[in-house]
Amino acid sequence: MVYVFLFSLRTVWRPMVFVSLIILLFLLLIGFVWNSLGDTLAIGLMELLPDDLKKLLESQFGFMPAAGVEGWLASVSRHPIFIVLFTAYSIAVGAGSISREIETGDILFVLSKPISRTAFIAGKIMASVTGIFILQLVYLLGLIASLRFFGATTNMDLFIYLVINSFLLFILINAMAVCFSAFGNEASWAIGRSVMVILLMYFVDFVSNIWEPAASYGFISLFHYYDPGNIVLDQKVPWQDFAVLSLGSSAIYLVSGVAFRKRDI
Amino acid sequence: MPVLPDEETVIDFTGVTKQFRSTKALDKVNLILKKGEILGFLGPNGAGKTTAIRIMTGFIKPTSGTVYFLGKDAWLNRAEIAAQVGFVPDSINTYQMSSGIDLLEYWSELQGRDPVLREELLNRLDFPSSALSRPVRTYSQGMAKKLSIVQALQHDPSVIILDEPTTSLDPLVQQTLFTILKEFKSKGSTVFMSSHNLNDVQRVCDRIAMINNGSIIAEGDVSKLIDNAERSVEIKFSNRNTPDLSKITGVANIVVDNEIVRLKVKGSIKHLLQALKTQSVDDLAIERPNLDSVFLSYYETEEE
Repeated sequence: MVYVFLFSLRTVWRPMVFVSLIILLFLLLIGFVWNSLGDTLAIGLMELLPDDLKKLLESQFGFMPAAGVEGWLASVSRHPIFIVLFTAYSIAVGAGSISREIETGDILFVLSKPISRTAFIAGKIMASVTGIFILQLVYLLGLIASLRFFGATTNMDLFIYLVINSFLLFILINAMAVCFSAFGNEASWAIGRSVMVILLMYFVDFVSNIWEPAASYGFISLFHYYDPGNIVLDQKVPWQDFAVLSLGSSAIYLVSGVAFRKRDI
Repeated sequence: MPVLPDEETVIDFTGVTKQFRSTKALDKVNLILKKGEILGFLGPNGAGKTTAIRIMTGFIKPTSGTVYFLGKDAWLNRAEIAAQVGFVPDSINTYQMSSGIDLLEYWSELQGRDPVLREELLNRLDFPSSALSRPVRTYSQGMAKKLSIVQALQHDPSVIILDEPTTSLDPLVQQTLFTILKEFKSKGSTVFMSSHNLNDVQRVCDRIAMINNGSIIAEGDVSKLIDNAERSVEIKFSNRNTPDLSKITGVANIVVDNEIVRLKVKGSIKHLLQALKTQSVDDLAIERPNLDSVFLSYYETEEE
Protein backbone atom coordinates (compact mmCIF):
# COMPACT_ATOMS: atom_id res chain seq x y z
CA MET A 1 0.00 0.00 0.00
CA VAL A 2 2.83 2.38 0.89
CA TYR A 3 4.51 1.87 -2.49
CA VAL A 4 1.25 2.48 -4.38
CA PHE A 5 0.67 5.58 -2.24
CA LEU A 6 4.14 7.02 -2.84
CA PHE A 7 4.12 6.21 -6.54
CA SER A 8 0.63 7.70 -7.02
CA LEU A 9 1.64 10.84 -5.16
CA ARG A 10 4.64 11.22 -7.45
CA THR A 11 2.40 11.10 -10.51
CA VAL A 12 0.20 14.01 -9.30
CA TRP A 13 2.83 16.45 -8.06
CA ARG A 14 2.78 18.51 -11.27
CA PRO A 15 -0.96 19.33 -11.22
CA MET A 16 -0.63 19.90 -7.47
CA VAL A 17 2.05 22.55 -7.92
CA PHE A 18 0.05 24.16 -10.73
CA VAL A 19 -3.17 24.34 -8.69
CA SER A 20 -1.21 25.65 -5.67
CA LEU A 21 0.20 28.53 -7.71
CA ILE A 22 -3.23 29.44 -9.05
CA ILE A 23 -4.64 29.40 -5.48
CA LEU A 24 -1.95 31.75 -4.23
CA LEU A 25 -2.35 34.14 -7.15
CA PHE A 26 -6.13 34.35 -6.76
CA LEU A 27 -5.91 34.84 -3.01
CA LEU A 28 -3.62 37.79 -3.58
CA LEU A 29 -5.85 39.21 -6.30
CA ILE A 30 -9.05 38.84 -4.25
CA GLY A 31 -7.31 40.34 -1.23
CA PHE A 32 -6.21 43.28 -3.32
CA VAL A 33 -9.73 43.91 -4.68
CA TRP A 34 -11.26 43.69 -1.20
CA ASN A 35 -8.62 46.00 0.21
CA SER A 36 -9.25 48.55 -2.54
CA LEU A 37 -13.01 48.54 -2.00
CA GLY A 38 -12.77 48.66 1.77
CA ASP A 39 -15.14 46.87 4.12
CA THR A 40 -17.63 49.68 4.47
CA LEU A 41 -18.03 50.25 0.78
CA ALA A 42 -18.54 46.56 0.10
CA ILE A 43 -21.16 46.24 2.81
CA GLY A 44 -22.75 49.51 1.66
CA LEU A 45 -22.97 48.22 -1.88
CA MET A 46 -24.58 45.01 -0.74
CA GLU A 47 -27.15 46.92 1.29
CA LEU A 48 -28.19 48.86 -1.79
CA LEU A 49 -29.02 45.72 -3.76
CA PRO A 50 -32.55 44.25 -3.97
CA ASP A 51 -33.11 41.30 -1.61
CA ASP A 52 -33.31 38.66 -4.37
CA LEU A 53 -30.07 39.78 -5.95
CA LYS A 54 -28.43 39.84 -2.53
CA LYS A 55 -29.51 36.24 -1.95
CA LEU A 56 -28.16 35.27 -5.34
CA LEU A 57 -24.78 36.82 -4.65
CA GLU A 58 -24.60 35.33 -1.19
CA SER A 59 -25.39 31.91 -2.56
CA GLN A 60 -23.14 32.04 -5.58
CA PHE A 61 -20.18 34.03 -4.39
CA GLY A 62 -20.47 33.85 -0.62
CA PHE A 63 -20.95 37.62 -0.30
CA MET A 64 -22.37 38.29 3.10
CA PRO A 65 -23.26 41.27 5.19
CA ALA A 66 -20.37 40.82 7.60
CA ALA A 67 -17.90 43.59 8.00
CA GLY A 68 -14.12 43.34 8.15
CA VAL A 69 -11.84 40.43 7.68
CA GLU A 70 -14.52 37.86 8.57
CA GLY A 71 -16.62 38.98 5.61
CA TRP A 72 -13.61 38.67 3.35
CA LEU A 73 -12.85 35.18 4.67
CA ALA A 74 -16.39 33.97 4.09
CA SER A 75 -16.50 35.41 0.58
CA VAL A 76 -13.16 33.93 -0.41
CA SER A 77 -14.05 30.51 0.99
CA ARG A 78 -17.18 30.32 -1.14
CA HIS A 79 -15.64 32.01 -4.17
CA PRO A 80 -16.36 30.02 -7.38
CA ILE A 81 -12.72 29.99 -8.48
CA PHE A 82 -11.70 27.99 -5.42
CA ILE A 83 -14.77 25.75 -5.59
CA VAL A 84 -13.99 25.02 -9.25
CA LEU A 85 -10.24 24.50 -8.68
CA PHE A 86 -10.59 22.16 -5.73
CA THR A 87 -13.50 20.30 -7.32
CA ALA A 88 -11.60 19.82 -10.57
CA TYR A 89 -8.54 18.52 -8.75
CA SER A 90 -10.56 16.20 -6.49
CA ILE A 91 -12.50 14.74 -9.41
CA ALA A 92 -9.52 14.41 -11.74
CA VAL A 93 -7.38 12.62 -9.18
CA GLY A 94 -10.22 10.45 -7.87
CA ALA A 95 -11.74 9.50 -11.21
CA GLY A 96 -8.38 8.63 -12.69
CA SER A 97 -7.22 6.58 -9.72
CA ILE A 98 -8.56 3.24 -10.96
CA SER A 99 -10.39 3.59 -14.27
CA ARG A 100 -7.46 5.34 -15.97
CA GLU A 101 -5.16 2.50 -14.87
CA ILE A 102 -7.62 -0.02 -16.28
CA GLU A 103 -7.96 1.99 -19.49
CA THR A 104 -4.21 2.12 -20.08
CA GLY A 105 -3.50 -1.39 -18.79
CA ASP A 106 -1.15 -0.11 -16.07
CA ILE A 107 -3.17 -1.96 -13.46
CA LEU A 108 -2.20 -5.32 -15.01
CA PHE A 109 1.43 -4.68 -14.10
CA VAL A 110 0.61 -3.65 -10.54
CA LEU A 111 -2.00 -6.24 -9.62
CA SER A 112 0.08 -9.07 -11.05
CA LYS A 113 2.34 -8.44 -8.05
CA PRO A 114 1.54 -9.78 -4.58
CA ILE A 115 -0.58 -6.83 -3.55
CA SER A 116 -4.25 -7.09 -2.65
CA ARG A 117 -6.83 -4.95 -4.36
CA THR A 118 -7.73 -3.48 -0.97
CA ALA A 119 -4.15 -2.32 -0.46
CA PHE A 120 -4.08 -0.93 -3.99
CA ILE A 121 -7.23 1.17 -3.63
CA ALA A 122 -6.22 2.22 -0.11
CA GLY A 123 -2.91 3.50 -1.49
CA LYS A 124 -4.75 5.39 -4.22
CA ILE A 125 -7.21 6.94 -1.74
CA MET A 126 -4.37 7.93 0.58
CA ALA A 127 -2.59 9.66 -2.29
CA SER A 128 -5.79 11.54 -3.24
CA VAL A 129 -6.45 12.60 0.35
CA THR A 130 -2.83 13.69 0.83
CA GLY A 131 -2.97 15.76 -2.37
CA ILE A 132 -6.17 17.50 -1.27
CA PHE A 133 -4.70 18.05 2.20
CA ILE A 134 -1.60 19.68 0.73
CA LEU A 135 -3.75 21.97 -1.44
CA GLN A 136 -5.84 22.95 1.57
CA LEU A 137 -2.65 23.68 3.48
CA VAL A 138 -1.48 25.92 0.64
CA TYR A 139 -4.90 27.57 0.70
CA LEU A 140 -4.69 28.14 4.46
CA LEU A 141 -1.18 29.57 4.27
CA GLY A 142 -2.26 31.72 1.31
CA LEU A 143 -5.23 33.10 3.28
CA ILE A 144 -2.99 34.00 6.20
CA ALA A 145 -0.32 35.49 3.97
CA SER A 146 -2.88 37.52 2.02
CA LEU A 147 -4.35 38.97 5.24
CA ARG A 148 -0.90 39.78 6.61
CA PHE A 149 0.02 41.40 3.31
CA PHE A 150 -2.84 43.86 3.72
CA GLY A 151 -2.15 44.34 7.42
CA ALA A 152 -5.35 42.66 8.68
CA THR A 153 -5.72 40.21 11.57
CA THR A 154 -8.49 37.94 12.84
CA ASN A 155 -9.24 34.96 15.03
CA MET A 156 -6.94 32.12 13.82
CA ASP A 157 -9.49 29.46 14.81
CA LEU A 158 -11.77 30.67 12.03
CA PHE A 159 -9.14 29.82 9.44
CA ILE A 160 -8.82 26.33 10.81
CA TYR A 161 -12.61 25.71 10.88
CA LEU A 162 -12.99 26.99 7.33
CA VAL A 163 -10.12 24.95 5.95
CA ILE A 164 -11.22 21.75 7.73
CA ASN A 165 -14.74 22.24 6.36
CA SER A 166 -13.35 22.83 2.87
CA PHE A 167 -11.00 19.81 3.17
CA LEU A 168 -13.87 17.51 4.19
CA LEU A 169 -16.10 18.78 1.37
CA PHE A 170 -13.49 18.04 -1.28
CA ILE A 171 -12.65 14.67 0.26
CA LEU A 172 -16.33 13.76 -0.19
CA ILE A 173 -16.20 14.95 -3.81
CA ASN A 174 -13.05 12.87 -4.29
CA ALA A 175 -14.75 9.84 -2.71
CA MET A 176 -17.57 10.09 -5.26
CA ALA A 177 -15.07 10.26 -8.11
CA VAL A 178 -13.12 7.26 -6.72
CA CYS A 179 -16.39 5.35 -6.49
CA PHE A 180 -17.24 5.99 -10.14
CA SER A 181 -13.66 5.09 -10.98
CA ALA A 182 -13.96 1.77 -9.12
CA PHE A 183 -16.94 0.81 -11.26
CA GLY A 184 -15.75 2.15 -14.62
CA ASN A 185 -13.25 1.11 -17.28
CA GLU A 186 -12.50 4.58 -18.65
CA ALA A 187 -11.40 7.74 -16.86
CA SER A 188 -13.59 9.93 -19.07
CA TRP A 189 -16.67 7.94 -18.03
CA ALA A 190 -15.82 8.35 -14.34
CA ILE A 191 -15.06 12.07 -14.75
CA GLY A 192 -18.29 12.62 -16.70
CA ARG A 193 -20.46 10.93 -14.05
CA SER A 194 -18.69 12.73 -11.20
CA VAL A 195 -19.08 16.14 -12.83
CA MET A 196 -22.75 15.45 -13.51
CA VAL A 197 -23.47 14.54 -9.87
CA ILE A 198 -21.48 17.48 -8.47
CA LEU A 199 -23.17 19.98 -10.79
CA LEU A 200 -26.55 18.57 -9.83
CA MET A 201 -25.70 18.94 -6.14
CA TYR A 202 -24.42 22.47 -6.62
CA PHE A 203 -27.65 23.32 -8.42
CA VAL A 204 -29.78 21.84 -5.60
CA ASP A 205 -27.83 23.85 -3.03
CA PHE A 206 -28.11 26.99 -5.13
CA VAL A 207 -31.90 26.66 -5.61
CA SER A 208 -32.47 25.79 -1.95
CA ASN A 209 -30.63 28.97 -0.96
CA ILE A 210 -32.49 31.38 -3.22
CA TRP A 211 -35.95 29.82 -3.37
CA GLU A 212 -37.83 29.45 -0.12
CA PRO A 213 -40.01 26.42 -1.09
CA ALA A 214 -36.86 24.44 -1.96
CA ALA A 215 -35.02 25.33 1.24
CA SER A 216 -35.98 22.10 3.00
CA TYR A 217 -34.34 20.01 0.23
CA GLY A 218 -30.92 21.60 0.60
CA PHE A 219 -29.69 18.80 2.87
CA ILE A 220 -29.51 16.49 -0.19
CA SER A 221 -26.57 18.45 -1.53
CA LEU A 222 -23.08 18.05 -0.11
CA PHE A 223 -22.55 21.82 -0.56
CA HIS A 224 -25.22 22.32 2.11
CA TYR A 225 -22.59 21.18 4.63
CA TYR A 226 -20.11 23.84 3.60
CA ASP A 227 -21.26 27.22 4.82
CA PRO A 228 -18.37 29.65 5.50
CA GLY A 229 -20.86 32.45 6.19
CA ASN A 230 -22.28 30.61 9.19
CA ILE A 231 -18.82 29.71 10.48
CA VAL A 232 -17.65 33.33 10.59
CA LEU A 233 -20.95 34.57 12.02
CA ASP A 234 -21.27 31.87 14.72
CA GLN A 235 -17.51 31.55 15.31
CA LYS A 236 -18.14 27.91 16.33
CA VAL A 237 -16.96 24.53 15.09
CA PRO A 238 -19.63 23.20 12.65
CA TRP A 239 -19.54 19.70 14.12
CA GLN A 240 -22.66 18.53 12.33
CA ASP A 241 -21.30 19.50 8.91
CA PHE A 242 -17.95 17.90 9.72
CA ALA A 243 -19.68 14.69 10.78
CA VAL A 244 -21.90 14.43 7.69
CA LEU A 245 -19.02 15.07 5.31
CA SER A 246 -16.65 12.66 7.10
CA LEU A 247 -19.16 9.85 7.40
CA GLY A 248 -20.30 10.35 3.82
CA SER A 249 -16.80 10.13 2.40
CA SER A 250 -15.86 7.14 4.60
CA ALA A 251 -18.97 5.25 3.48
CA ILE A 252 -18.36 6.02 -0.20
CA TYR A 253 -14.68 5.03 -0.01
CA LEU A 254 -15.79 1.77 1.62
CA VAL A 255 -18.30 1.06 -1.15
CA SER A 256 -15.56 1.79 -3.73
CA GLY A 257 -13.23 -0.69 -2.05
CA VAL A 258 -15.83 -3.45 -1.93
CA ALA A 259 -16.85 -2.86 -5.57
CA PHE A 260 -13.24 -2.85 -6.73
CA ARG A 261 -12.47 -6.13 -4.95
CA LYS A 262 -15.36 -7.87 -6.67
CA ARG A 263 -15.09 -6.54 -10.21
CA ASP A 264 -13.43 -7.99 -13.30
CA ILE A 265 -10.43 -6.19 -14.76
CA MET B 1 -17.03 -31.04 -6.42
CA PRO B 2 -13.71 -30.13 -8.08
CA VAL B 3 -10.74 -32.41 -7.58
CA LEU B 4 -7.80 -30.61 -6.02
CA PRO B 5 -4.76 -30.71 -8.31
CA ASP B 6 -1.66 -32.71 -7.46
CA GLU B 7 1.74 -31.16 -6.78
CA GLU B 8 2.75 -31.49 -10.42
CA THR B 9 -0.16 -29.36 -11.60
CA VAL B 10 0.47 -25.62 -11.71
CA ILE B 11 -2.78 -24.45 -13.30
CA ASP B 12 -6.00 -26.44 -13.47
CA PHE B 13 -9.04 -25.13 -15.34
CA THR B 14 -12.13 -27.30 -14.85
CA GLY B 15 -15.29 -26.48 -16.78
CA VAL B 16 -14.51 -22.77 -16.83
CA THR B 17 -17.10 -20.55 -18.46
CA LYS B 18 -17.00 -16.77 -18.65
CA GLN B 19 -19.98 -14.81 -19.83
CA PHE B 20 -19.70 -11.08 -20.56
CA ARG B 21 -23.31 -9.93 -20.92
CA SER B 22 -24.39 -11.53 -24.22
CA THR B 23 -20.93 -12.83 -25.15
CA LYS B 24 -19.61 -16.17 -23.98
CA ALA B 25 -15.83 -15.59 -23.92
CA LEU B 26 -15.01 -19.05 -22.53
CA ASP B 27 -17.17 -22.13 -22.71
CA LYS B 28 -16.50 -25.03 -20.32
CA VAL B 29 -12.74 -24.87 -20.74
CA ASN B 30 -10.64 -27.66 -19.25
CA LEU B 31 -6.91 -27.09 -19.24
CA ILE B 32 -3.94 -28.32 -17.26
CA LEU B 33 -0.48 -26.77 -17.02
CA LYS B 34 2.10 -29.18 -15.60
CA LYS B 35 5.12 -28.17 -13.58
CA GLY B 36 8.25 -27.58 -15.65
CA GLU B 37 6.61 -27.46 -19.07
CA ILE B 38 6.21 -24.71 -21.63
CA LEU B 39 2.61 -24.61 -22.82
CA GLY B 40 1.67 -22.62 -25.90
CA PHE B 41 -1.83 -21.23 -25.95
CA LEU B 42 -2.87 -20.70 -29.54
CA GLY B 43 -5.85 -19.03 -31.05
CA PRO B 44 -6.95 -16.28 -33.40
CA ASN B 45 -7.78 -12.81 -32.13
CA GLY B 46 -10.90 -12.83 -29.99
CA ALA B 47 -10.73 -16.58 -29.37
CA GLY B 48 -10.60 -16.19 -25.57
CA LYS B 49 -6.84 -16.32 -24.88
CA THR B 50 -6.62 -13.09 -22.90
CA THR B 51 -9.80 -13.89 -20.94
CA ALA B 52 -8.32 -17.25 -19.93
CA ILE B 53 -5.07 -15.59 -18.88
CA ARG B 54 -6.86 -12.93 -16.86
CA ILE B 55 -8.87 -15.62 -15.12
CA MET B 56 -5.75 -17.58 -14.17
CA THR B 57 -4.04 -14.40 -12.90
CA GLY B 58 -7.08 -13.44 -10.80
CA PHE B 59 -8.12 -10.36 -12.76
CA ILE B 60 -11.42 -11.90 -13.87
CA LYS B 61 -13.77 -14.15 -11.93
CA PRO B 62 -15.13 -17.11 -13.91
CA THR B 63 -18.90 -17.28 -14.28
CA SER B 64 -18.75 -21.01 -13.54
CA GLY B 65 -16.12 -23.71 -13.14
CA THR B 66 -12.98 -23.73 -11.02
CA VAL B 67 -9.45 -22.46 -11.56
CA TYR B 68 -6.70 -23.67 -9.28
CA PHE B 69 -3.28 -22.09 -9.44
CA LEU B 70 -0.57 -23.84 -7.42
CA GLY B 71 -3.35 -25.65 -5.59
CA LYS B 72 -5.22 -22.49 -4.62
CA ASP B 73 -8.34 -20.86 -5.98
CA ALA B 74 -7.03 -18.29 -8.49
CA TRP B 75 -9.70 -15.67 -7.72
CA LEU B 76 -9.65 -15.88 -3.93
CA ASN B 77 -5.86 -16.13 -3.50
CA ARG B 78 -4.67 -13.88 -6.32
CA ALA B 79 -2.20 -11.81 -4.28
CA GLU B 80 -0.67 -14.86 -2.64
CA ILE B 81 -0.29 -16.63 -5.99
CA ALA B 82 1.24 -13.52 -7.61
CA ALA B 83 4.29 -13.87 -5.35
CA GLN B 84 5.36 -16.89 -7.46
CA VAL B 85 4.43 -15.48 -10.85
CA GLY B 86 5.99 -13.29 -13.51
CA PHE B 87 3.35 -11.86 -15.84
CA VAL B 88 3.81 -10.14 -19.20
CA PRO B 89 0.47 -8.54 -20.16
CA ASP B 90 -0.57 -7.91 -23.75
CA SER B 91 -0.71 -4.19 -22.96
CA ILE B 92 2.49 -2.15 -23.09
CA ASN B 93 1.07 1.33 -22.50
CA THR B 94 2.46 1.53 -19.02
CA TYR B 95 2.87 4.72 -16.95
CA GLN B 96 3.98 7.04 -19.73
CA MET B 97 5.38 9.84 -17.55
CA SER B 98 7.64 7.63 -15.44
CA SER B 99 11.14 6.52 -16.38
CA GLY B 100 11.93 2.88 -17.13
CA ILE B 101 14.13 2.49 -14.07
CA ASP B 102 11.53 4.06 -11.76
CA LEU B 103 8.97 1.57 -13.01
CA LEU B 104 11.30 -1.41 -12.63
CA GLU B 105 12.03 -0.28 -9.06
CA TYR B 106 8.35 0.24 -8.31
CA TRP B 107 7.34 -3.17 -9.61
CA SER B 108 10.23 -4.80 -7.82
CA GLU B 109 9.18 -3.20 -4.52
CA LEU B 110 5.64 -4.44 -5.06
CA GLN B 111 6.96 -7.92 -5.84
CA GLY B 112 8.87 -7.86 -2.56
CA ARG B 113 11.83 -9.76 -4.00
CA ASP B 114 15.23 -8.64 -5.17
CA PRO B 115 15.50 -8.09 -8.94
CA VAL B 116 18.36 -10.59 -9.18
CA LEU B 117 18.10 -11.02 -12.95
CA ARG B 118 17.43 -7.42 -13.97
CA GLU B 119 20.88 -6.48 -15.26
CA GLU B 120 21.33 -9.74 -17.11
CA LEU B 121 17.92 -9.51 -18.77
CA LEU B 122 18.42 -5.90 -19.82
CA ASN B 123 21.73 -6.84 -21.43
CA ARG B 124 20.47 -9.96 -23.15
CA LEU B 125 17.36 -8.24 -24.50
CA ASP B 126 19.61 -5.47 -25.79
CA PHE B 127 17.88 -2.75 -23.80
CA PRO B 128 20.10 0.38 -23.91
CA SER B 129 21.00 1.38 -20.35
CA SER B 130 20.84 5.07 -21.33
CA ALA B 131 17.12 4.65 -22.09
CA LEU B 132 16.30 3.52 -18.57
CA SER B 133 16.29 7.05 -17.19
CA ARG B 134 14.03 8.34 -19.98
CA PRO B 135 10.24 8.56 -19.66
CA VAL B 136 8.45 5.52 -21.05
CA ARG B 137 6.49 7.74 -23.45
CA THR B 138 9.71 8.14 -25.46
CA TYR B 139 10.10 4.36 -25.89
CA SER B 140 9.35 2.48 -29.07
CA GLN B 141 6.81 -0.35 -28.86
CA GLY B 142 9.65 -2.87 -28.88
CA MET B 143 11.45 -1.18 -25.97
CA ALA B 144 8.25 -0.99 -23.94
CA LYS B 145 7.73 -4.71 -24.57
CA LYS B 146 11.27 -5.48 -23.39
CA LEU B 147 10.64 -3.47 -20.21
CA SER B 148 7.47 -5.50 -19.69
CA ILE B 149 9.42 -8.75 -20.05
CA VAL B 150 12.15 -7.60 -17.66
CA GLN B 151 9.62 -6.61 -14.97
CA ALA B 152 8.08 -10.08 -15.19
CA LEU B 153 11.29 -12.07 -15.03
CA GLN B 154 13.64 -9.90 -12.94
CA HIS B 155 12.76 -11.63 -9.65
CA ASP B 156 13.33 -15.14 -11.04
CA PRO B 157 9.71 -16.39 -10.86
CA SER B 158 8.77 -20.05 -10.72
CA VAL B 159 5.77 -19.58 -13.02
CA ILE B 160 5.83 -17.30 -16.05
CA ILE B 161 2.70 -16.22 -17.91
CA LEU B 162 3.12 -14.32 -21.15
CA ASP B 163 0.31 -12.83 -23.22
CA GLU B 164 1.50 -12.36 -26.81
CA PRO B 165 5.13 -11.75 -25.74
CA THR B 166 6.69 -11.47 -29.19
CA THR B 167 4.49 -8.65 -30.48
CA SER B 168 6.69 -5.68 -31.43
CA LEU B 169 9.95 -7.60 -30.90
CA ASP B 170 12.41 -8.06 -33.75
CA PRO B 171 13.31 -11.66 -34.72
CA LEU B 172 16.69 -11.55 -32.97
CA VAL B 173 15.18 -10.48 -29.66
CA GLN B 174 12.38 -13.02 -30.11
CA GLN B 175 15.02 -15.74 -30.40
CA THR B 176 16.77 -14.43 -27.26
CA LEU B 177 13.47 -14.45 -25.38
CA PHE B 178 12.84 -18.07 -26.37
CA THR B 179 16.33 -19.02 -25.20
CA ILE B 180 15.67 -17.29 -21.87
CA LEU B 181 12.35 -19.11 -21.49
CA LYS B 182 14.03 -22.45 -22.20
CA GLU B 183 16.65 -21.63 -19.55
CA PHE B 184 13.89 -20.91 -17.06
CA LYS B 185 12.33 -24.25 -17.94
CA SER B 186 15.63 -26.05 -17.39
CA LYS B 187 15.77 -24.47 -13.91
CA GLY B 188 12.33 -25.96 -13.16
CA SER B 189 10.12 -22.97 -13.95
CA THR B 190 6.80 -23.40 -15.73
CA VAL B 191 5.83 -21.24 -18.69
CA PHE B 192 2.42 -20.45 -20.15
CA MET B 193 2.57 -18.44 -23.35
CA SER B 194 -0.29 -17.23 -25.49
CA SER B 195 0.28 -16.39 -29.10
CA HIS B 196 -1.37 -16.25 -32.48
CA ASN B 197 2.04 -16.76 -34.05
CA LEU B 198 2.42 -20.45 -34.80
CA ASN B 199 6.15 -20.28 -35.40
CA ASP B 200 6.74 -18.87 -31.92
CA VAL B 201 4.92 -21.74 -30.34
CA GLN B 202 6.56 -24.40 -32.47
CA ARG B 203 10.02 -23.08 -31.60
CA VAL B 204 9.68 -23.04 -27.85
CA CYS B 205 6.69 -25.03 -26.55
CA ASP B 206 6.50 -28.63 -25.37
CA ARG B 207 2.76 -28.76 -25.56
CA ILE B 208 0.04 -26.64 -27.07
CA ALA B 209 -3.61 -25.94 -26.46
CA MET B 210 -5.70 -24.41 -29.22
CA ILE B 211 -8.68 -22.25 -28.45
CA ASN B 212 -11.36 -20.94 -30.75
CA ASN B 213 -14.68 -19.27 -29.97
CA GLY B 214 -14.01 -19.81 -26.27
CA SER B 215 -13.50 -23.58 -26.45
CA ILE B 216 -10.38 -25.70 -26.44
CA ILE B 217 -10.35 -27.43 -29.83
CA ALA B 218 -7.08 -29.34 -29.54
CA GLU B 219 -4.48 -30.04 -26.90
CA GLY B 220 -1.35 -32.15 -26.81
CA ASP B 221 2.36 -32.50 -27.52
CA VAL B 222 3.51 -30.41 -30.47
CA SER B 223 5.14 -33.41 -32.22
CA LYS B 224 2.09 -35.65 -31.79
CA LEU B 225 -0.27 -33.00 -33.09
CA ILE B 226 1.93 -32.53 -36.12
CA ASP B 227 2.12 -36.29 -36.72
CA ASN B 228 -1.65 -36.53 -36.60
CA ALA B 229 -2.14 -33.51 -38.80
CA GLU B 230 -3.54 -33.53 -42.29
CA ARG B 231 -0.84 -33.51 -44.97
CA SER B 232 -1.09 -32.74 -48.68
CA VAL B 233 -0.02 -35.45 -51.09
CA GLU B 234 0.52 -35.16 -54.84
CA ILE B 235 0.83 -38.39 -56.88
CA LYS B 236 1.79 -38.54 -60.54
CA PHE B 237 0.69 -41.80 -62.15
CA SER B 238 2.13 -43.19 -65.38
CA ASN B 239 -1.18 -42.80 -67.22
CA ARG B 240 -4.56 -41.16 -66.96
CA ASN B 241 -6.21 -44.31 -65.71
CA THR B 242 -5.82 -43.39 -62.06
CA PRO B 243 -7.00 -45.75 -59.31
CA ASP B 244 -9.82 -44.99 -56.85
CA LEU B 245 -8.08 -43.98 -53.61
CA SER B 246 -11.16 -42.79 -51.74
CA LYS B 247 -11.56 -46.01 -49.74
CA ILE B 248 -8.10 -45.75 -48.16
CA THR B 249 -8.10 -44.88 -44.44
CA GLY B 250 -7.46 -41.18 -43.78
CA VAL B 251 -7.66 -40.07 -47.40
CA ALA B 252 -9.92 -37.14 -48.30
CA ASN B 253 -10.34 -34.19 -50.66
CA ILE B 254 -9.23 -36.08 -53.78
CA VAL B 255 -8.75 -33.94 -56.87
CA VAL B 256 -7.85 -35.64 -60.17
CA ASP B 257 -6.09 -33.64 -62.88
CA ASN B 258 -5.27 -36.03 -65.79
CA GLU B 259 -2.54 -38.33 -64.46
CA ILE B 260 -1.97 -36.21 -61.33
CA VAL B 261 -3.97 -36.85 -58.15
CA ARG B 262 -3.93 -34.43 -55.25
CA LEU B 263 -5.35 -35.46 -51.89
CA LYS B 264 -5.17 -34.97 -48.16
CA VAL B 265 -4.23 -37.63 -45.64
CA LYS B 266 -5.07 -37.35 -41.99
CA GLY B 267 -3.08 -39.46 -39.53
CA SER B 268 -0.75 -42.21 -40.67
CA ILE B 269 0.22 -42.27 -44.34
CA LYS B 270 1.15 -45.97 -44.35
CA HIS B 271 -2.25 -47.12 -45.73
CA LEU B 272 -1.83 -44.91 -48.78
CA LEU B 273 1.75 -46.03 -49.36
CA GLN B 274 0.61 -49.66 -49.10
CA ALA B 275 -2.06 -49.08 -51.75
CA LEU B 276 0.37 -47.33 -54.09
CA LYS B 277 2.76 -50.31 -54.08
CA THR B 278 0.65 -52.06 -56.74
CA GLN B 279 0.31 -48.90 -58.87
CA SER B 280 2.55 -47.42 -61.49
CA VAL B 281 3.68 -44.17 -59.87
CA ASP B 282 6.06 -41.76 -61.61
CA ASP B 283 6.36 -39.21 -58.78
CA LEU B 284 5.17 -38.73 -55.21
CA ALA B 285 5.32 -35.53 -53.16
CA ILE B 286 4.26 -35.49 -49.50
CA GLU B 287 4.17 -32.16 -47.74
CA ARG B 288 5.46 -32.38 -44.18
CA PRO B 289 2.86 -30.79 -41.92
CA ASN B 290 3.78 -27.96 -39.58
CA LEU B 291 1.88 -26.27 -36.83
CA ASP B 292 0.29 -23.91 -39.34
CA SER B 293 -1.47 -26.77 -41.05
CA VAL B 294 -2.44 -28.33 -37.71
CA PHE B 295 -3.92 -25.04 -36.58
CA LEU B 296 -5.66 -24.33 -39.85
CA SER B 297 -7.15 -27.81 -40.10
CA TYR B 298 -8.65 -27.53 -36.60
CA TYR B 299 -9.71 -23.96 -37.20
CA GLU B 300 -11.41 -24.79 -40.51
CA THR B 301 -13.18 -27.78 -38.95
CA GLU B 302 -14.54 -25.46 -36.27
CA GLU B 303 -15.70 -22.92 -38.82
CA GLU B 304 -17.58 -25.59 -40.76
